[in-house]
Amino acid sequence: MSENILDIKNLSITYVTKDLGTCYAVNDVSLSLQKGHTLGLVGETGAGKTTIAKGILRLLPKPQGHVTSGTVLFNGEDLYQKSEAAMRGIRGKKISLIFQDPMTALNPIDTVGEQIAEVIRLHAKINKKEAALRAVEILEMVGIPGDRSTEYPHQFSGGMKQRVVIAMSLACSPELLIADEPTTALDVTIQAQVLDMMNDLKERLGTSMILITHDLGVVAEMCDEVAVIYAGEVVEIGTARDIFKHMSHPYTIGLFESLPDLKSESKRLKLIPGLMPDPTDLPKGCKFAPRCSHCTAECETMAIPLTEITPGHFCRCLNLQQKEERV
Amino acid sequence: MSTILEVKDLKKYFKVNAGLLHAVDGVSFKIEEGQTLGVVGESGCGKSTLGRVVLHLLDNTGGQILYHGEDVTTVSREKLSALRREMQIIFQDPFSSLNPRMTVYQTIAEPMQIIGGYTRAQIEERVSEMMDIVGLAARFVNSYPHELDGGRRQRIVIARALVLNPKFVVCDEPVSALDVSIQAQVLNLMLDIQERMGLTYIFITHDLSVVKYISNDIMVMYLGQMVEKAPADELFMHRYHPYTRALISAVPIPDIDHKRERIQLKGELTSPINPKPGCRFAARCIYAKPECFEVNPEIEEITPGHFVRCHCVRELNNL
Amino acid sequence: MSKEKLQIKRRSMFGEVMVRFLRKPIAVFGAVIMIVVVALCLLAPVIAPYDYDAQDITRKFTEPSQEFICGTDNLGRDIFSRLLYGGRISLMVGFVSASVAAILGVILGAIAAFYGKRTDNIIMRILDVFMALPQTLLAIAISAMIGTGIKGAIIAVTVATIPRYAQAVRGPILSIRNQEFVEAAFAIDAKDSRIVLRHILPNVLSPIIVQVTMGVGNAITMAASLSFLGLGVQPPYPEWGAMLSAARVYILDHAYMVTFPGVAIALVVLALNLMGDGLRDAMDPRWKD
Repeated sequence: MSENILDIKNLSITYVTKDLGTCYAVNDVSLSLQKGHTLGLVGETGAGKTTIAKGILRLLPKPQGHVTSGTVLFNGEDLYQKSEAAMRGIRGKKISLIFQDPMTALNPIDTVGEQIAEVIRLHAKINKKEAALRAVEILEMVGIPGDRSTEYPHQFSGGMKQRVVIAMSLACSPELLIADEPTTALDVTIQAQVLDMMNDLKERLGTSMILITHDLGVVAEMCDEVAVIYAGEVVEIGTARDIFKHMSHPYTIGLFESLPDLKSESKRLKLIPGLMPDPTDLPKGCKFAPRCSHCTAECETMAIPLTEITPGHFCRCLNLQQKEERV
Repeated sequence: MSTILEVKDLKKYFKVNAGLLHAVDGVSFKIEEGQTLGVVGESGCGKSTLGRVVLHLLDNTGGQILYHGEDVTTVSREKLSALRREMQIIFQDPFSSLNPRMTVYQTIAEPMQIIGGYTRAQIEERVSEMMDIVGLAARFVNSYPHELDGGRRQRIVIARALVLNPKFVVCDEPVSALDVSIQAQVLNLMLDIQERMGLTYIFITHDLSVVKYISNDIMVMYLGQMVEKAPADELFMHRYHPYTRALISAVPIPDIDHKRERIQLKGELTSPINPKPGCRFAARCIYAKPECFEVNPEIEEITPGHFVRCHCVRELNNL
Repeated sequence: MSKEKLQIKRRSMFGEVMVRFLRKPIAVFGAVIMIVVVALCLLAPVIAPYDYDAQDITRKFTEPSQEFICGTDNLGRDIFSRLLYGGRISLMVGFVSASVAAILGVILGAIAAFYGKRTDNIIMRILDVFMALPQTLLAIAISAMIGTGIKGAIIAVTVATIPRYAQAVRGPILSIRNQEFVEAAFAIDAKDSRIVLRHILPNVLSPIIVQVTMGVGNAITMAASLSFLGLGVQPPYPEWGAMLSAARVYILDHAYMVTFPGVAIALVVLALNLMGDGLRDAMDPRWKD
């Protein structure tokens, strides 16, 4: 396990606001990521995926966001014990974050070359000229001709901008890249290009990655391990094969079934009834119980532990036996 | 079955600083009553403009829109008002398509109030019925949109569009802003309503799996033009146009054993402003021949019901 | 079909706004100040110990005392009484001109933004010409043309401030105009007037409210400048601005003479701003406490 670049243990995060009360955004989440691997965090809006990412980088909005328990070990060092100054050295340099919307992540009045160079100079002591050269190199690495480094963001299309954003986040050769819905705003053909590029870069640079997405198709292409997040909890975690071929949690199964499939012929989608629970008022037992068709009295009352079904494949459900048969 | 809508050589150009933007450029199609035409394409291909022009929310630059044989673009103002009742639109973004200062009731009731001639009791009755149909609990009747989640908001949008019993509805990316589990709920709802009310849909989306699921016919658009049109299953079985192939191959499949043969496209979308002569897709097409850069291919019916716009379609597909 | 009868709350906008407004202590505080000030001014004939133009040269420059709460001025007139009577004029000029200017400005701005293109160009370019002149200078010119007096002051201040309102609403309307819910209203065949009144204006109320509350203070001071130049309200009518500028000469020896009218103006402007802030939040249904 010493190979792990990131170990999150029992992380819980709450948001406390006056008008909504306490919102339990992340509940006792443990994740680990091996060097060079990609971990997918899958879940729907409001499941707490982005909050986990912000929690890792200690970027929770203040004063509402609180880490109530847990540790985040990056290369074995506890990020929560670090000073704010030390964190600033880690963010961007060792851990980079890519946001969903490439349109707002770039400063419209600087050329893209300048912006990448600036990131480099913030973390490495090199002069302007070297930084500019390095910026051109990085742009070419993400498939943008180097001579476009003197252009402004508005001269780039959406897909190109997202490449620039990825280039920026790679500028300091981070060890860990956290990508929050990096291709959601892009068209499918452009998404395909960006995904290929990210896979290619990951192989060349050996970067580890956490990929946050709601798109199971993207997960299938990119990830080695997958964690399914529901109402701030990991409900199922395992290798991509475990999740895609031996999905066990009713929510995971429901997610797959509610996807319109290019191959299937059916005329109605199966669906998960209801809505995600209100994070200020979570069910006592299984968070998914109100929407689950296999729910028993026990599910509603007791806290459900993550159980290991097969080595490395964990699932948070009491009725695994029946489901195994059904699948 | 009768043809509810026929569009002939529809054009919509916008004047922009750099010249003329050909948003919709010579699109023709027919929809039969009770059917769904899916329109797919990437951002900037003119699919949203097409939907708005068909409803005459935007004036067209050329061509005809025949609704039950009557040209929407030339009818009188009164007649258009009457047609508007039968033709409705469901917007993409359930956040911006609802007035934040109007309650659910006010929003759904508004179309009836605009037409006038209903008593308050009739309106209340109908709103209640619509909320029931779209699956909105009665307790939300006094809620404001911001108090509801995306799925419920989209249900309000649908209820408002259907309150006057339209016959024809343009759905502009109605589920793109929703999560998968909610998306499934709304898609099923739209299919149920279609069966129940005998609706005809134009379903505009960028999501190929959604369009396959909901449509009878699918039309693929590229830079304002239709490049391929076929019945849904046929299109996914025989993708004749190189763009359709690339588009379908780019969809990430949620199956780790799926071996993707991704057909790469060269470069990015070219500009729809003052398009060059020749095939719109030529610049990104790996099969492009010199001819493709000079003459824009005509739409051709390759097999019955399957239309393609490509010079090389026969040689590429061994037809 | 089984369905329950809907319990439709006739959510009256006014009632809801009041409920939310009353939950904001600071805004209520502003409102209380305004109510007190307005009541005092209205009741001036009853409360005021002296007449506003009763002079007593022998008692000129009397410091504030029990007899003269705010002292007397250079002609021996009771400043407190003059403030009460003057408040009627100042507040009237302020409120009337700010609200008339706001209504006209909002109409112009809304027409310009809603119809766009040429209409927008014509209206906004004409307003630009007005904006190019300093407001006060414009007011002076207008006032010189139409004559002095309270009416003259109101008209001058109104015309001079219309462009600000038009501009303040044009931008927000332009952005609301492109929202899908406005398009949706077109799709259900709503009339232009309904779209503007029902869908657009309610969503741009906040900038208007802020502009109006600040505008009242602005109008009061502008009217004061006019009187100072002999163009607005004429002596012996007391008006806060006029009192302030008349007292300016004695600021070193008799500071209380500027203090009281100054405090009166500041208090009213402050109270209006507090109210305006509260009102802006209260008018937004998304606002929660």
